Amino acid sequence: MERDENDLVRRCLAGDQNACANLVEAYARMVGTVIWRATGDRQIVEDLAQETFLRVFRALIYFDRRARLSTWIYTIAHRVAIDHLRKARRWREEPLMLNDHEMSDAVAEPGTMDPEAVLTRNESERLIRDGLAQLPEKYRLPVVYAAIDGLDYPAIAAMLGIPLGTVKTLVFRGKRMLKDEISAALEHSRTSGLSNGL
Amino acid sequence: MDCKDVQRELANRTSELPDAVLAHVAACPACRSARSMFNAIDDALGQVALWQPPAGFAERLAAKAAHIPRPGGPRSLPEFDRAAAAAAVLVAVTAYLSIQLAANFSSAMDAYAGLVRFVSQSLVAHTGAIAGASAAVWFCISAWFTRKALLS
Repeated sequence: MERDENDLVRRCLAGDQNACANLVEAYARMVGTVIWRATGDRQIVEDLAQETFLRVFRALIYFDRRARLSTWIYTIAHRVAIDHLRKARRWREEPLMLNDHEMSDAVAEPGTMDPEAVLTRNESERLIRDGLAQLPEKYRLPVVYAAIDGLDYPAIAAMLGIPLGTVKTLVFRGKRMLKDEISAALEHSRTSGLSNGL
Repeated sequence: MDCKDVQRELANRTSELPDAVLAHVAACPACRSARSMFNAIDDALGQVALWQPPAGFAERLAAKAAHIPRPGGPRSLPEFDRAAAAAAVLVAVTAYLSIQLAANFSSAMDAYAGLVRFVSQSLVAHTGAIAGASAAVWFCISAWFTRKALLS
């Protein structure tokens, strides 16, 4: 695997266009997902993913081949996303499920066909989404990155430039803050419901 | 294991939970509630699909990559050159001022000869340190610009 990566890097540096396309194909999905989860804005993902790969190709000559290429590329994607967030100074609160295809996949799971269950799921998603929007970036990013399938904790630690133990602490604190937010929101809606019912 | 330790494990569940954690959760309503909530959060965050690049994305980027200039090394970066030039000027000016100050103060200001001599001798004595500090500043500026250029 490592030798394949090094070979891919060597061919890219030699100007092999097919190798460059292979590199993009190999990492584009994860790069886009990192950017999407970091910014919460699907509309901007393609542009930022493109910027990420252009930075990758510009800096490829300096890539330390002892490191993991994937982690190095995801770190650049993370920085591109952070640069965008700093410029935009916001995090978009998009629905977690964004299109009918994803929604139908989720609803089609056994036992979730009940409309009330879907409503409950949508409600809990809304609460989680609102809670995420309230989280400081320091906690939000480790939490959303940890939820990406295929991104392990050592890679997240490298991307964020912090020790592994700190990632775990930030994920824990972030989820605890989310839990508190959701509990408070549920409590609030319960009290409102009670007072409306009276 | 207290509740905080257990909930930290629950929040960072990447594999099977240790028996000690499971035993604690079985006996602790607060940690059971936390586990349910963390599971709900994980489910909601984890069900989002990976981003799918549009058709032709890789080919378009590969074509652009072919036109990216391949630098021969850090010295070819304009930012590095500017930083190096600025640092070199800083070192030269600092060294020149140190020597001039030392020489002029000791001969011209007789009234303050003792003080001036002390200051000038100190400056002369520390010229090396000043030059060293300047070199360190030069190195830091160069490293910063190089890193910035590499990441841009």
